[in-house]
Amino acid sequence: MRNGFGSIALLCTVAAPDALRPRKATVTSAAIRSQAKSPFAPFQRDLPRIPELVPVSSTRTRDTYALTVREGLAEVLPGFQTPIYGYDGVYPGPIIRARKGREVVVRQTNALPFETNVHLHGGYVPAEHDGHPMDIIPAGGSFDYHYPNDQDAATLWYHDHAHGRTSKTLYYGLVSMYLLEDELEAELGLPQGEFDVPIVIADHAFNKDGSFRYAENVDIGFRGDTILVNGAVSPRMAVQRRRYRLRFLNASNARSYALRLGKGRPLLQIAGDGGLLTRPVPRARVPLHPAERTDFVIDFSQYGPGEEITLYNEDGEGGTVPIMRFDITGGRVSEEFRVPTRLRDAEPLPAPNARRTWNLALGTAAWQINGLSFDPNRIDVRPRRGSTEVWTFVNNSNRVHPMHLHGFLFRMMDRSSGPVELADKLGWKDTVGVLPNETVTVLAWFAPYAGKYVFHCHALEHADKAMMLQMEIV
Amino acid sequence: MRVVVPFTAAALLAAALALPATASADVTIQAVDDVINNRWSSPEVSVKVGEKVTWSFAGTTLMHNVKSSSTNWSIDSPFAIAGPSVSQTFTAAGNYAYVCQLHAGTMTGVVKVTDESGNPAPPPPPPPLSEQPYANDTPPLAVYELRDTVAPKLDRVNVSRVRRGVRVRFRLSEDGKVAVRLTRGGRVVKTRTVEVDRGTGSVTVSGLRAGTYGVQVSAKDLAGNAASGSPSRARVTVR
Repeated sequence: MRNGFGSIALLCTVAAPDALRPRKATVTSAAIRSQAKSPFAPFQRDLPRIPELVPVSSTRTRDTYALTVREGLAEVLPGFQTPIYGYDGVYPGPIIRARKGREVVVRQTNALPFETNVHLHGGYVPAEHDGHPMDIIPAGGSFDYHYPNDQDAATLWYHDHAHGRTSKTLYYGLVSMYLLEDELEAELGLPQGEFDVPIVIADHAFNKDGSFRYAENVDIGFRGDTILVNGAVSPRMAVQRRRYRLRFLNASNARSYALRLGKGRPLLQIAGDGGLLTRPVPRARVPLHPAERTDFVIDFSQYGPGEEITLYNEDGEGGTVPIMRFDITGGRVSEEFRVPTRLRDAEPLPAPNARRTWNLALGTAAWQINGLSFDPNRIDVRPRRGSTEVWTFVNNSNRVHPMHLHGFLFRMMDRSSGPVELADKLGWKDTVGVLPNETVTVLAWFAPYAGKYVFHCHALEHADKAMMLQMEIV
Repeated sequence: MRVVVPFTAAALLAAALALPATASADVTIQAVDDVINNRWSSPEVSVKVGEKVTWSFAGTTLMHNVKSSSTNWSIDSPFAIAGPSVSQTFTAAGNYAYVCQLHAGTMTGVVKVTDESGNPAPPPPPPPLSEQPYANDTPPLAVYELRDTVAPKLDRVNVSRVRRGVRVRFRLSEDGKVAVRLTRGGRVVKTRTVEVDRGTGSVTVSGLRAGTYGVQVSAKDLAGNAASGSPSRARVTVR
């Protein structure tokens, strides 16, 4: 039996995304330049995948890596060679993937003509391996950083922290990620491998020869007119119709972002600075201040092949609006995985031991905290090891100050500008963007290590101009 | 003649009128606080070789400094509120740019130094490419989402009887989902949804009791667009 029923002829099909169109083979830089539209046109390049570092040796309990901090060249704009500083000469530097309970040793060799050091941002690290601004590796020297990895899974990152120079070395490329995993996270079955994508966002500006252009601005910090994602101008990423874990790091000197997907489609946040939240939180607009990390799971199976979804910066303008585009490819997909509704339980914390207030302001000589500038010979605060303290950051200025504690994590308690974002309440943080004229209160936990650490503003032009104090955990 | 450009806007205007840009004199440039627009009293002044320019911070209530921002000279005063004045005597013709580092957005200026006879300096050679800004000229982002709005085409639907069941053959123009719904006596007795590739395919619903069923076939593509036209309906008697 045949059923006759009307059918309307289709006039067109969905346009193939750019990723699927054949590209001409090119040889010379000039040919690449002449073919490209504008080197700044967004969504022209595929998202570069950051390489992962392979250990030089492994034992039952320890992985040893070796990195050289050196100058290098990167093709950031098509057809141009951009001089950079890089871990192993690449920007962003290679990712270290660590596992809780397994020690990692990184031998950092400084092949730059000036001092450097390495700070593992967000890590529980003994003071002598934390990358204190005064613990430096001289030019030509090397140092073995020991990372015990005793904390829960988290998206960490590492960068230079030699005092007074960080704004330039980070800008010129000394940045990479350090992905710490654990068994509890593995049991959740979150997307892995090619579906677990680290993404480093930073704003840059360029000279006509393709080199990075840096103009110091100690007031608002550096602002570039172009967003680089994993070292490419607002790239595109071909995604399958399934869930992806995307780990975002704001590695900008001083620019804050407000991430937004398509027409406000939900970004399901599963983790923040200090690892997994207690439960996933769908968000439409996610502020990302310098040095902050957020991990999302995005379900692309709700989109059809050929569709294109843009992730953009709602607080940007011109070239700093488009961050990246997801081009949905492929057809049917069968995926069993669902994001669990409970990710991790919050640890109980001891009652706070002390309350301290930190006034952030432009003082008589520079940006200061409580009227003080960084002095390596002075200890500004001595919290007890294992205790918690209520720290209140009072911003008396018109600039954002992303305040960061080395070596320790905190929980958000209160913001004077409104309620604390649910996602910020459900997890640990190590950096909080204190907005203009805002007061932010956090509960910091000074464990597990004793020793000298610093806390500072992560708008790096502020930090380099000594908006940093020293704490000794006793 | 020694000219001090005073603090208020009205006097500033008067001074600007009284002092043509080519006036031959030592010049004082006053830092001016303004809640939204800190500025220099005269962002562009002209002097002759050998004349002195003074930057005055008297009466300011915010912190300022002056720093050279072109490479042909050097001046760098400390940050201070109402700090001491600083002066520079220019000995060569040229354009000398300066800035307050704390208010670099609005407090910029240039001193144009002419030779004795008042001729402007020859234009400097262009800086090398490595010092020329390559500005991002991207137009504003217009499209935040490109969604597939094209409905798939479902045709060649053929419903036939099989043993204790119904088989539906069809053709779909895109990858998608086909739903088959069986009704009997006005009640839905069975639905079956399958993901299918583009092209022809079939769905068999078995385990039916004997009787006459209404069969409704609909389809969506992977983006969720329903096939155009009304769902295909048929009746089939299962034995």
